[in-house]
Amino acid sequence: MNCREFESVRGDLARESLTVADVRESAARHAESCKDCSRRLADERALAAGLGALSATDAQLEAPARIEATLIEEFRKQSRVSYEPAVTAKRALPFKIRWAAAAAAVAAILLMVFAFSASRVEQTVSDEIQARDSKPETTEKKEKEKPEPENKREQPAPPKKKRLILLQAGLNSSKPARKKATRAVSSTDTRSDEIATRFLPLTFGGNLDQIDGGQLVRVEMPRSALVSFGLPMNIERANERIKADVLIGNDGVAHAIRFVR
Amino acid sequence: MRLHSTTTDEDLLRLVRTGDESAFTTLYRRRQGAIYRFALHMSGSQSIAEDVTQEVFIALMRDSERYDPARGPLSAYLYGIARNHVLRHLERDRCLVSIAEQMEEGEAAVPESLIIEGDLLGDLTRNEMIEAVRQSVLALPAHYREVVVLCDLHEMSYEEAAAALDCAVGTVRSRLHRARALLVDKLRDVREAGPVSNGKSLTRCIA
Repeated sequence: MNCREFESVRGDLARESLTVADVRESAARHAESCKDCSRRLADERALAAGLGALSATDAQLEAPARIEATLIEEFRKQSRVSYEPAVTAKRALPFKIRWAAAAAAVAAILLMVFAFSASRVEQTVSDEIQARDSKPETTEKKEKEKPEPENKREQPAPPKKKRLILLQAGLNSSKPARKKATRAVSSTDTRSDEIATRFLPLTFGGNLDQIDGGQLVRVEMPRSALVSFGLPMNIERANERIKADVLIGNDGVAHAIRFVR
Repeated sequence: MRLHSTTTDEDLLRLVRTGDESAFTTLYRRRQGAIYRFALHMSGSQSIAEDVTQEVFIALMRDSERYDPARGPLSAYLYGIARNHVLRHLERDRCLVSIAEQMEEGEAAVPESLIIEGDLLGDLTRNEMIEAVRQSVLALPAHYREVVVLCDLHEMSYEEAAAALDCAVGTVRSRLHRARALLVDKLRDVREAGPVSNGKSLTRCIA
């Protein structure tokens, strides 16, 4: 073994961690024959002893007890924080429901406000609604009521299906309904046994022709809401509910409404 | 607590994550001494060692998900956190510059002709020797100091030290070799200068 080779094993030899017997004996022989390497080995052994003594002296050193107390306190705080979300999550559910209810209420109020702003109401639609509202009662109250004018009485009521086409054709247009009747029927999802008014704009000055698309949302509201749209209403049936389709545009805004029977 | 005495660190950590206080206490008591001593040997300051110990376990309880068992044992992870905090503290106290760093930058190694024959620490009493070694270790540059502390004072294997320091085993081996050579030189200086009294530091303030 030469000095370079001895240098590579000197540390392990000094710490008696050189496991290969041949190398250990060879290194020991070199140390006996080389003064420099012998001195370096002695220094290394002294250093190892010094480090060992330092390690043994400090082996019992520990952090003060107050550190443990502080950490446990912190751990308890941390645990409380960790578990709080689970508790609040259970409580949060009613809040969410309440928020949803509040949002629905606000939406309903907005709907009503929009409804007030709808100034253009087709008189023909009003007549149709009025006629439908009074129809069930006509047989019962026919004799009690005053006789209607001749010209009105003589007008034959159109068949139900035909009236549906006429009413639906009013979507997006104030032009005569008959021209668009076929298209209107196919483009709306009103059931064949339902009768609907034309769409009444909910936004002030809103142009229904400019709506790209959207979806119809079926809602129910008190019959008294008809008054908000300038439509006639049988006061005796004010407490009943009436169906309506709200046209929600792709922008999420309610643009129009129609009443369905 | 008794049930945790034989539980592995990793299992204790899993319990800690579920909010098990006794598991945390067991883990702390098992590892705090080594972390405290590591910080003390690295910094030479009890207050820093206490701060670092506290910071290490707070980091563990708050951010235990960062521990990846595939990268090494939990003890190595804790040493790694401790090392980062110690270096941060030392960085804060940059006015303290070790003589060794200055020597490395400007001064050549001690000439062979000036080396005194004889036992490196033979003239010192045991306490003086321990203090001399302590101060010599503290005077090493941080990257040498940490391998000496881990491998020689904490008796870690090269692999464990490499995991704690997040470096290659070869790096640990070469740094340790160089660090020991530096320590021999420093202790020789101490021997020539006379006994080191308690509290006397080889570091000095240049600020």
